[in-house]
Amino acid sequence: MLTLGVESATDQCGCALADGGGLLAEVRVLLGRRHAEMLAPQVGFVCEQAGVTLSGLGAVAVDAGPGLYTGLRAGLATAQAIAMALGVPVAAVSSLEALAFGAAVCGASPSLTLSVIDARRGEVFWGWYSTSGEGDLAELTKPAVGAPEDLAAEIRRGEVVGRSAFGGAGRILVVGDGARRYAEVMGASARLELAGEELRFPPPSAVALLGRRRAVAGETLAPEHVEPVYLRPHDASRRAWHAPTRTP
Amino acid sequence: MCQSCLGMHSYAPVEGPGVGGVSLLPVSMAVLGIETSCDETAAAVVCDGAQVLSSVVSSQIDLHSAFGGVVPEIASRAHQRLLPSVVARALREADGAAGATPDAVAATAGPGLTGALVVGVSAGKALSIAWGVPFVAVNHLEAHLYAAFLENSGIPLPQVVLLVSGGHTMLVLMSGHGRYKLLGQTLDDAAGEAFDKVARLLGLGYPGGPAIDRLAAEGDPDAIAFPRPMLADGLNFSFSGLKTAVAVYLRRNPEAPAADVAASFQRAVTDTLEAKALRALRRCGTRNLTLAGGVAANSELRRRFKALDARTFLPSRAMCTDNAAMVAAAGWWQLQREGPSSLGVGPDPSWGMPGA
Repeated sequence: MLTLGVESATDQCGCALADGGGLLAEVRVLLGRRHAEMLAPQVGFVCEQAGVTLSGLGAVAVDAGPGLYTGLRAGLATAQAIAMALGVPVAAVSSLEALAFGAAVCGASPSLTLSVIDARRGEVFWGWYSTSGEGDLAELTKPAVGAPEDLAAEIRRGEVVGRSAFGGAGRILVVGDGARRYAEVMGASARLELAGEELRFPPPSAVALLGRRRAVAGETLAPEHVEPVYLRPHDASRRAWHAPTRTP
Repeated sequence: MCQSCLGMHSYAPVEGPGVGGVSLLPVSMAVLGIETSCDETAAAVVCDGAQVLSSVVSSQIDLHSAFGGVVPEIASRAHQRLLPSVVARALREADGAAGATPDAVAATAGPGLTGALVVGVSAGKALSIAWGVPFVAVNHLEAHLYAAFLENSGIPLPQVVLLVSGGHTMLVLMSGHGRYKLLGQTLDDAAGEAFDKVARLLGLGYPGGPAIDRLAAEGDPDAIAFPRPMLADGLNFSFSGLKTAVAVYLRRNPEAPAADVAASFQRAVTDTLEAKALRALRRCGTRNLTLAGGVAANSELRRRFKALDARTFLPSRAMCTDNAAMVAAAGWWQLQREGPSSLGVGPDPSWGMPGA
C-alpha cells in the first residue's frame, strides 16, 4: 500500500513515500516556520522523484504531534485534504514515536528510547519507548508535557510507567531537538546517550513507514476524524487584534 | 443552477488567446472556495464566478463569545477540526454526482490570523494537487468586493466599494476586475471593531454588531450627539475617538438608556460612512456604489444606503459577512486574469488590497 507520510510538527518540514518494499523517497527541509508554503511542493517533488502519482496512494500518514501548533496544523490540513480528495484513510503517528522509530530503523541496538521535543515556552514534550533494531516499537508512556526539570526528575527517579527505567542494564537513547536543547538540564549519566543530528527531528520516512504499517493493519481514521495532539490547553489570554494591512 | 459545471471537465490544455497562446480554462468552471481567515470556517462551490452551487459557513461565535473577542488559538484549532467536514458538505451540496471534483481551488491567503490562514491555505493547496487542478491564493479584501457580483453580475464599473468589517474600513475605487485604488481607510479602529467595543461597554456581549443593531431599533438616534470623527474632509476614517466618547458618556451618565446610546452611536457611524462614501463618489465621478463586509449587514446602514442618491448595490447579509462563495468568485476572476498561484504561496496575515 503506497503511503504518503507528512511531518511538519517541528521546525522541520518534510514528507516521504513508502510502499511494501520500504522507503521510496523522502524530503526534509529546515527553513524556519514555512510549513504552509513548503508542504504541497514537497509532496509534488517526492511523487515526481519516486515516479508515482498521488492517485496511487492507499493511505496518508501524518505526524499528529505533539509539536509546534502552526506546523502541526499545516501538516494535518494537508494530509486530511489529500486523503479526502482521494478517498483514502489517514493514519496518525505521534511525533515522539516517529523519533523513536527513527532510532530503531537507524539500526540502534535494542534500547530504551526517550523522545524529547522542544515545546517552546520553556517546556518539552516527551515519551518513553522500547525499541529493537528490527524497527519494533512499544510505547511505555503516554506523551507528556512539562518543564525540562520535570523530565530530569523523572529520569533521576527512574519512574516510568510499566517499568523502571533504571531497572535494567541497557542504555537510554535520548532523541529529539528538546533533548539537544536541554541536555545539560537532563543531567549527564553514563547510561544516557544523546542521539546525533539525524534524530533531532522526527524523520518523515518514519511517519510514512509507521503509518503504512498502521494502514495495512486497518488502524486508520476518516480524514475528518484526525485530531492533533496539543497536550496543552489554548491560551485564551491572547485575544486577536486587527493588524493594519500594508499599503504601499 | 449550473448542473453541467461539476466534474465534467478534463484538464487538457486548449489553444486560447491568453498570454503565451495557451489557456487552461474550460468553458464552464466550478471553483471550490475556502475561507478561514478569522472566525468563520467556510467552503463553497461557485460556477464561473457567478452561480453559487453551495455555500457552507460554520461560525465559531459560540467558541469565542465567552472571551469577548476572537481568540487566535481557539480559531486555529476550530478551523482544523471543522474544515474537512465543511468542505465535504459544500461539495456534496453542490452536486449529487459521486466523485465530482471542482475545476479549481481558491483559498483565502490573507489578511487574517496566521494560524487560521495556515489551515485554509494548506488544505486548498493539498486539494488542488490531489485533484490535479489549479490553485488560487485569494486576498480576503478583494473577495469581499466580489460578494456583490455573485448576486448581480451586471454591476457597472467603475464603482466605489465601501468595505466595512470587524477588521477593515476602506473605500476602494474598482475601475475594472483586478484594478483597485485605495481611496481611504481607517487610521485606527475598524468600524466593526467600534461596534464590538461599544457593545462591550453596554454589556451586550460578542459579537457586537448584531447586538447593537437590535438594541438601536428601540432607541432614539438623536438622543446623544456623539462626534462624527473626520467628517469634514478627506476619505480616511477614525473610530477610536467615537468609541472613547461613548465610554466617557457612559461614565458620566451611567443611567442613560442603553438603547439610546446604541442608536446614537450607530447613527454617528452611519453618518460618517455615508458622508465619506458620497464624497468618494463625487471625487471619482461615478454613481455606482457597492457595500461590502460584515458591517454592511447592519440594518440602519442598509436603510440609509438604499436611500442614497446613487446606484447602490447591497449584497445579501449572508454575502456581506465572511463566506467562501466570495472567495471562489474572486478566485475565478483571478484565474482568468493571472492564472494559478504558485504552490509555494503561504499565508500573508497583513496582505493589503492588491494593486491598491
